[in-house]
Amino acid sequence: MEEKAESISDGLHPATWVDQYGDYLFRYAVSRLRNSEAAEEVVQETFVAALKHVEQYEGKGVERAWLLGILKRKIIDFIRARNRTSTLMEADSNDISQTLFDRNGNWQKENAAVIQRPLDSLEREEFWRILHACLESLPLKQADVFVLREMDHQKTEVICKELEISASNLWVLLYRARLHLSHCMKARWQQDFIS
Amino acid sequence: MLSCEEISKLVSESFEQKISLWKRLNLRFHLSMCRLCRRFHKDLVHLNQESKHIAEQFEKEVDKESSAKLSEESRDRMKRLLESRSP
Repeated sequence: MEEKAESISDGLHPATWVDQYGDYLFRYAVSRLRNSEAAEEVVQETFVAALKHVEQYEGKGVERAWLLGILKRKIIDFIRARNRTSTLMEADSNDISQTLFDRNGNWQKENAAVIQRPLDSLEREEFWRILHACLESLPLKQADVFVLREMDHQKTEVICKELEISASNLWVLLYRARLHLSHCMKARWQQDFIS
Repeated sequence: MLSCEEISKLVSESFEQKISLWKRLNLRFHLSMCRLCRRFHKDLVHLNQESKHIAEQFEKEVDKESSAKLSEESRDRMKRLLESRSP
């Protein structure tokens, strides 16, 4: 309670934002956008927008959460803008289902291993490193819808509206993303074990 | 009888919405028979759970010494920007 009261009476301190929250917001943005330059851009936009709306901050909640809220909005705007130029079903040059299924739609035998769940924080970091790399190998739109869905837990309607796609398009994109990710992650995990 | 490829689509769809009774029965029956589709289902459950967990970590962890930071250059740029625009 005391802490909360303090942050309300303190209000906002823009001069300390970069040092206090810069890296935090940057890491968050990188986790969603997978690109340092893009992340820097949205963090800067967040600070500028926050400064513009300082009067609207009514001391509700802590400064960090307030800034994060603005950043989340900026990230969605960024994702929308960068997907506007990509066609709906972006050329998926190596159609993953052809690798994973035979002509009759049965699994190819070699894809039988299962995704390992991380057991501790070290393994979790490794899991994230691999997931991040696998997301990077996906067509942009597939990766972005996966992140919006599984990391941000955005509702179907929100994603569809922001990316201007139908629900069934979204499900196809998610399906392809999941198929690719499960394959990619198992392959990389095995690679890491051997090397 | 649906193929594994068709079942894998149903698995993914079932995470997005309540699928029809017919699809649900097909899915359940197939999964009870097919080890590889069960694995795929399990993979997606793990993938979703871990993605969620990782996302929460990024929101919670304010100080994380070892990981990525803003470059000095952009840090300075943002500070100057905030200073110049401060009321």
